[in-house]
Amino acid sequence: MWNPWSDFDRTYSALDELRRRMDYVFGDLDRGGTRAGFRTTEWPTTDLTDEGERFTLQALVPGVTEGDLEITATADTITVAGERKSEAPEGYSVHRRERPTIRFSRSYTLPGKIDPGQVNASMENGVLTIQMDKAPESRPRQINVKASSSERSESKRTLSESGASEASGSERSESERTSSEASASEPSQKGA
Amino acid sequence: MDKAMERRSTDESVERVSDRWVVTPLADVYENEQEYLICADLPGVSDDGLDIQLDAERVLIHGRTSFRGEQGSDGGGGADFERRFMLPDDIDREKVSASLENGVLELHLPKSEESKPRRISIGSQTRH
Repeated sequence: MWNPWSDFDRTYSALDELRRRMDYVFGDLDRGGTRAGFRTTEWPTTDLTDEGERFTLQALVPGVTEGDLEITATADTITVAGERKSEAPEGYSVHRRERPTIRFSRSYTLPGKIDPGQVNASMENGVLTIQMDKAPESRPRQINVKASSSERSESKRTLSESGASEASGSERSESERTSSEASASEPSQKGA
Repeated sequence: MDKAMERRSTDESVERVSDRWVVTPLADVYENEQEYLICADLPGVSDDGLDIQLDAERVLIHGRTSFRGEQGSDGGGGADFERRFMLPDDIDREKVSASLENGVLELHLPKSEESKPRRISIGSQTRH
């Protein structure tokens, strides 16, 4: 039986594979990352960001439902485990299969302490978002810089001093040149 | 030949205006007597961000995702995605349908009526 999909495969699979590899190489070398939807080493592909008051983890989990996920948190780790089921639908024959069933468990050490009781997870369009409120001690604290008036005037003085010394330095070199010119012109004057 | 390929092969010294990536979503292709079925992983893609085009011989699945993944905290970006498949001749183009659920696209490409296999019943006739 003529199979259009495998026909396509034969013609283009080599190019397709080449493109994937190029994507992989360029992606990794140029940007230091992996590509969305393209499984390289770890699944799921994840971003972890520090938003000041909380950490946010986003993971690409297409085909995963809430019930397939297990999320556990400690004071400084978060673990996302689960299964992405992908089976050929009943009664269909398979032409191309790139989306495997994946059992996964990925743990992340957080760059600061969180409050494990304040972790919220949500799913939208196959993206898992976990928001973790930081423990009070890891939250950023704004430090006000106090500037005392005496210090400020002192630093001003140092600046003007250095400026003066620079200026005098250039003056000095100029006067030296003038004097050497003068001394050079002296003999000619004498000779004349 | 392929947009993504063209973009990759252009001179590196020429910079693109937008610094978005083009990703190739993973896809499965199935077939039964009624239809072809393409399933593709499109995490982070909403209905608005997805465009499916049928031309004479190909189906193009493309669009944008806001999420790129493993990008560190530099943020922004997102990625374009693109995938094309050659279409068999026996598709009923009017009945093509798609759904997006949990970041997985299901694209149904029903076969045209005349191409579906037909069971021929054998009638027994009594001769007179």
